Amino acid sequence: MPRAPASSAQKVAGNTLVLDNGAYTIKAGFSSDNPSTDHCTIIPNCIAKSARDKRIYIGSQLDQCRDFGEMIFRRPVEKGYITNWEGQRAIWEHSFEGDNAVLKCDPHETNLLLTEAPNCPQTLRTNTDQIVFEEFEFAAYLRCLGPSLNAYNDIPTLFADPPPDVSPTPPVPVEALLLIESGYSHTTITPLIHGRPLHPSIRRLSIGGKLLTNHLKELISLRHYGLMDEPHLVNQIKEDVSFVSADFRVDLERAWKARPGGVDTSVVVDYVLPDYETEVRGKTRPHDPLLQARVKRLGAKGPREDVVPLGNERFAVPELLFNPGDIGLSEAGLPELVLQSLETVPEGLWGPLLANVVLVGGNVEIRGFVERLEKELRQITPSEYIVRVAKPADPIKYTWLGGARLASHHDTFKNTLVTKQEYDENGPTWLARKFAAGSPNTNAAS
Amino acid sequence: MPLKQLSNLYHHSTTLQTNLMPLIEELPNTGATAAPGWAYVADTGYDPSKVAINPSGTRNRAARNGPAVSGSELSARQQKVIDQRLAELHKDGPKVAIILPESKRAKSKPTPNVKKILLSNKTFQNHVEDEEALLVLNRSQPVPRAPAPGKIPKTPASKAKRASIGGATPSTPLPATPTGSMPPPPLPATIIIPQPFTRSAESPLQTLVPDLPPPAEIEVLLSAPPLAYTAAQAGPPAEKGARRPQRHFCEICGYWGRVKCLKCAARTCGLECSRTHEESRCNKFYA
Repeated sequence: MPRAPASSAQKVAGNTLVLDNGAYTIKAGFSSDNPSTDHCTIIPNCIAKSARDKRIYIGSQLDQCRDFGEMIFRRPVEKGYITNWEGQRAIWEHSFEGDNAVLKCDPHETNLLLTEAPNCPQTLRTNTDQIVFEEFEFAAYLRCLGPSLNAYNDIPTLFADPPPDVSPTPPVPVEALLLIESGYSHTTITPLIHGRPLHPSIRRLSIGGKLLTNHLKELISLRHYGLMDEPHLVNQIKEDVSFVSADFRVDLERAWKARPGGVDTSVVVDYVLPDYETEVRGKTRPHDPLLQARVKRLGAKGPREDVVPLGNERFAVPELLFNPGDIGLSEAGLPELVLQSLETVPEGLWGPLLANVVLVGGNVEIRGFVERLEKELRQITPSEYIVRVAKPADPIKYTWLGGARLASHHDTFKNTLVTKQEYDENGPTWLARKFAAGSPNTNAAS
Repeated sequence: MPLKQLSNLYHHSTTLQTNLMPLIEELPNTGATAAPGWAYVADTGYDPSKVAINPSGTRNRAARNGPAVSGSELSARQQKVIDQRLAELHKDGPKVAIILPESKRAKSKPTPNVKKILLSNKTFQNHVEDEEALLVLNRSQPVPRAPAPGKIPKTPASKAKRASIGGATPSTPLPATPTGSMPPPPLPATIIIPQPFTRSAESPLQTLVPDLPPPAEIEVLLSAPPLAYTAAQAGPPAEKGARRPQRHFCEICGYWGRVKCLKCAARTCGLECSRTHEESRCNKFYA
């Protein structure tokens, strides 16, 4: 069978789909000349089965769901890596190719920029490559580490630095960046130099949003209501009420039930659980210490609502990121893990990295996270170095935004892509070697 | 030589003294450190001077073998309970099979690779184990863990020592792929040792931030292949027990766990919670 002469650039499509395939949500959208987070759609990366109406929700269908009671979730991404391709294929198919798909496109005429978590086993990477080219048949493809894409974002603005004199037209990765991504499965620390990861210095803390939710679920079930079968609800409670304590000891005293003068109502709140009839999402309200007594007195005449008072659960759960030893996990807390990562880097790079610590991922949204990390990092790092920690306005979509900025400049971006034709000619092993660096190589001539 | 004799003499005299003195021994006792915050604990660490004289002492052997810090020591049973709980926390909901609706793609015939991937029932744990097995097979050596964390060195000597360790790291990298299909990128023959930390001559108190390493060295670091999954895992906290004692919380209300249940070693904060615990939670009926 005669083969067409290799001319790779021909086959690169004009349209690029940027896909940050997270364990909890997919952040996806098409690149444009001037990308912003508005162009990014969040799709739940799960297949859910409702116990109530026996319906199966795939990906974005979950938005239609009005009753999350006893829902069972199946997630194709395990510990940050796609392991169940049957499920992932169904979600991708539903998102790109369904009749009313949120991101309708023809993969044959679309480039794909896909993120992966660091330290992925090679077999899983090859699986991904094969599905992308052999099953979905995307026109061209780039797979790289999610953290490395953040370097293409406007980092100087985050730290209120003066912007560069001339804004470079092809996006240039920032010189030094210490990226901490705290997602659903885990928290990773990636030092990046010119957008390229220092692979031997990447460290991972096995605490992510999932573990925090599970921990909160256990605490509430033990102390107040049995919510073991309500992961979705507990996740919402966590998002609504939790905060990272600036001073753990003080806050624990304030939430103590035997505190002289009663509990501090600025720490303890009441959470009204949704009934899924009138309310889909629960809400917080100020703590009412006499509530239980009143409910008892009124009996059936009282308001029909389930209220969970939340005190130290609010901050003891995110505290695990800083003190994993609290649940017996023998891993260093996040600030110390930064040091563990830096110790594998020459000291000359400590300064630039510590001055550019950026936090992304869903857990970063927890109030007080940035301040606490900055404070603890300051305490444990040598005083010669400047420590600056920042989080972007939308930490969940920030990786996606970096990818979209990279893809916005088509002329440089197309050099990083591998076309389907090249894959067909050279095979998956060649592709694995091509993407081994984990970061887009914009200098490479195709 | 006379000096050694002298020191022997000294040792003998001290043992004589300690033998005459009433024996006061602080038993490793977790109850002593129940209060939050700092705690003074007996230093039962390895003392070579005592071993030289009394090598068969069981107490010495116990101190030598066991962890030095009382209170943070966990029995095998306690460790098992913690491991089970952690596994529970890492779980992603109940394992219930959800039957997917028929895919439109299923009609077209998938390639053999895709078919294999879709039908694979491997969990992530399986993949990690495969990766490690292949690494061992390829290199016939165990997976090196991430370098053990140490405290931040203060002296130039220790800096230089660490620098040489840091410089050596890229020279023994793990292969980027366990399949062995991908050779690691070429590395320069010489190991570049980062500049040791310098202090300015004029004012010794003023420290200087070290200069950026040369681009060639950065290039070497950047071209190092990724670590294996387990190698990138966070190391244990440094100086565990000494700087940060294990914190215990009341399992009923979440306040400091100041009281330990005599039967099952669970922690509670006070009378009220310990009563609740005994009524409903304590599942050990024998003491």
